[in-house]
Amino acid sequence: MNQEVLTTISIASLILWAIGAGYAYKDNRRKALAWTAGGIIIFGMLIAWLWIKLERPPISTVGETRILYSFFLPLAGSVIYARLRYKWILTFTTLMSAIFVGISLFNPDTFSKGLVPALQSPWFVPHVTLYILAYALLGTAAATAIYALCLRHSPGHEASICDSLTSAGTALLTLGMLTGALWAKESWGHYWTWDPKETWAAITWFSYLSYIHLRHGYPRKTRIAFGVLIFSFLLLQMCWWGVNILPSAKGQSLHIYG
Amino acid sequence: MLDISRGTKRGIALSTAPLLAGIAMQYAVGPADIRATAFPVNACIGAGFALSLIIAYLLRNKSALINGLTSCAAAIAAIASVIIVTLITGIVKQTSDTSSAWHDMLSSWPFILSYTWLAVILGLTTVKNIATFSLRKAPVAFSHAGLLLALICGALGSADVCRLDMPVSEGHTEWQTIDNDSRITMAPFGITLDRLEIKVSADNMPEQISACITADRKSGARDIFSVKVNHPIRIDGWDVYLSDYSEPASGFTTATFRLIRDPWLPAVYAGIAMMSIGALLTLFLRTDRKKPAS
Repeated sequence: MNQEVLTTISIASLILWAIGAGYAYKDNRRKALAWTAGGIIIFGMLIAWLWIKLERPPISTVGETRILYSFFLPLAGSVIYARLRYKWILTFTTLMSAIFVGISLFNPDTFSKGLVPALQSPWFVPHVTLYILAYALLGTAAATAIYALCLRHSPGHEASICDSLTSAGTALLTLGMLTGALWAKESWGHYWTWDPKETWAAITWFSYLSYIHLRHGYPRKTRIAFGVLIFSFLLLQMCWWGVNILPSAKGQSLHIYG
Repeated sequence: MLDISRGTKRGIALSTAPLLAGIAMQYAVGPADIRATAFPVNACIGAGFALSLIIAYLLRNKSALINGLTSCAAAIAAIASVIIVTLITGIVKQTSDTSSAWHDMLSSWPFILSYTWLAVILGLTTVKNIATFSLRKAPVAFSHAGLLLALICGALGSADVCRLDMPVSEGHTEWQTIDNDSRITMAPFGITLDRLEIKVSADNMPEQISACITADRKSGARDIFSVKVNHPIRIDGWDVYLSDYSEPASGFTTATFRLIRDPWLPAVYAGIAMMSIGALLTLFLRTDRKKPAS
């Protein structure tokens, strides 16, 4: 039942987002934003339905965080499109959402009601939500960097978009990391234990800081900066779900998302 | 390639030195022992470090090197060095029961020196941020200062963190604990496990675990507390956590309490607060607006 609802609503949302992306290419801003907003609302209702059904925020497993990510991506894309009117951004965010929704559909989650005692904390929702929102902004930045590197001979405003998205994304990443540290102190007794998840979070965070410093010190070296941004996004993936399959981290991490 | 001045070239070269120096030290003296920096050594190191930063900043005009160390190039190189050692920590399985530096990076000199060098560059930049403070630079100033405080106090303070594990059987009183080195020591107070309550959900998963305890202080006072997962309590300056439990088929139910005391925690929390302010200012304070031409 859960999987059927997830599949139906996901496909419906993706169709609406794709229509919105199509209107963006036709320079019909109102319809582009309206269709995209429709998809966001329907997908938001899916998350709300899951929350009610599970009797807890649906953000405790990797599968559930993928769903939340697929919700925030088109939201981030809509904001960029509304402010800067970049035709391609809604296509990119729709494609990325499709990938993550597809992974969720092909790797069905168990959607268990139970929430282990370690996750029953007021820090749970802000910590995970801040991180997933950061991931959405940084994912959009990576998409912009790929677009600029592959399809633009002389990147123009793309660098400025990447700077804004990365600045906001890194600020959210910082807040996510710090709420995690405060939660770790309450739950496990220490704010930083170099748990594999924390180690990869630090690597990702430092990588985005290196981009920010590179842009500040060498504003004309945009192609190198775009490369650092894409590399940082790969590190982000490693931190998000790659650490769960890393052999050296097996049995060593307390961050068991499932 | 990047166009960089001579001063910043020196900064880059010196930023790669920690990795090389760390490798040399690792071969020469073996792994670092964090316990050697317990109080008051760590306090002296911290005070000396802060004073050195201020003096270095005051002498900046006499040295291209010091100016170079506050450049973006030096910062990028130091961050890259830190990323390298942290990547090794993330990729290679870590354990403390080893003589291999690859598997115990936290005690390795390349790791320690890379982070120390980052702290030097971060420190000089922070002093510069404070000396030239403006509202426009506030997000950066708070972020740098917060990270410096959290990093230095967290690293130096780790030698003073006391962790004691106390397994207590239901209905029994325990006064002994097991420390980090697996030695049995006297606890700062006695704990009686009056009752362990495990609330189970419909699919037999533990939903909430709480322990009702009585604490016997050395002063003679007795107090009753409830300790739950994610909800530690504080007794006589110690944070008490419910860290584990066991319900054998026969025998007593046992709860394990973890007692932790970290005297440097307030300073680390101050650093965390400053970093949070820096992040929030980055999100909500527009610092890229140029003043209109008059």
